[in-house]
Amino acid sequence: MAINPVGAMQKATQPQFTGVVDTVVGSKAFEKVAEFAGSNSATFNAASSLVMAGVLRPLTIMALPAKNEQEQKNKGNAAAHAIASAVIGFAITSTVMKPISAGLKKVMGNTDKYLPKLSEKMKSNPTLEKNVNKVLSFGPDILLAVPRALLTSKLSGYVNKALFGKKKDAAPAQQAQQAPVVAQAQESQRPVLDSFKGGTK
Amino acid sequence: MNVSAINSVAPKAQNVKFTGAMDKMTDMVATGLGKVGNTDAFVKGMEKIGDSPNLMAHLSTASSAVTTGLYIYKNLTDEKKSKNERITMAINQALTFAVSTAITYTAIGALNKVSKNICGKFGEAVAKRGYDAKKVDTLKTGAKAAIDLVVCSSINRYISPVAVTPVANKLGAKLTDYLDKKDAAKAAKAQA
Repeated sequence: MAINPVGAMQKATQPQFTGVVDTVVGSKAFEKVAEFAGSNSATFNAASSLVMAGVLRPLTIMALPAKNEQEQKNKGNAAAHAIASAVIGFAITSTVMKPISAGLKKVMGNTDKYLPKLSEKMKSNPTLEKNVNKVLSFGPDILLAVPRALLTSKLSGYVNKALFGKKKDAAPAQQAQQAPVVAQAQESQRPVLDSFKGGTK
Repeated sequence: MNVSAINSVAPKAQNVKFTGAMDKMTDMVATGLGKVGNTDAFVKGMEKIGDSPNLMAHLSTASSAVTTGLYIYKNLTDEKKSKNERITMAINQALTFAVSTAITYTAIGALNKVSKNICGKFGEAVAKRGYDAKKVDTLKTGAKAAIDLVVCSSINRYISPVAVTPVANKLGAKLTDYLDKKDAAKAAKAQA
């Protein structure tokens, strides 16, 4: 049997992947995911968050067991909120956050012009530079929190109605149909019941 | 008339308009942030807290706290929902924030180590595939984003919210019962 010494050496120098995680990370498919994420990081992050929070999360919540109708409604509310917050988050990241992120990047890329009082210290202290970046982005985060919460609550209501509203609407209609039947039954029993009032006259 | 020449100019002109507006907004944001960053208060504040290794975690938590507080307020004042639904959703929001924050401050160091370890393994494998430096850099950056998403973000955006939902349902039901009994007792006392 011919031995391939070069091939054997090449195999020996390659890292040995064991376990599921290692197998996935060492695969060609993961390399393709990494290539896309590296070249389109903003799109990858936004789309992944949308899928995780807007699709996987509500599907998993709805798959959880529910003991009664109230728990089922609560699950629906949680799922609707997840979808709404993912969509609004994606929309804000794709629109309003773009000029804010670009503006912040511009500031951090030219601290001599925009942050002259801190520029020298930031150049020699990477921790300070990171923290200045974070603090400057904090203001827009907080300002956007209010419209974000309002829009998410509003959208959550519409999503809830669209996904779970038919059942909600059907229940009151059924109850409305049953109510006159019950009322009629009660009415018809009254003369009979009245005769059993008892007591001394 | 050279129609193709006109058509080739028009789309570019539109692109310049859009890019120009984006550039203007970017400049406005940069100028505004620069003004804030040059105030004495900001400079003194950053000199005090600028070296804090956990500042990012603190600010993320503060930002989440504001958002969660707003969600809780909106849920508790939503007239379209029943009492049980309002209370349960508010508890759900609060618990999701609490669990995510607890994980951020306790396990995030360990999770970041796991993320770094996996990224390191991927980096070693990619380095041996004979790619050029630029591609290796792109792949490493992308791998970090993908691995951080699975290891860290999934906890805050998927695992925590899903795990607290049944807990919030139980607590919401108990709290609603308690409040209903309290209201009934008050009403009975008022009638008596």
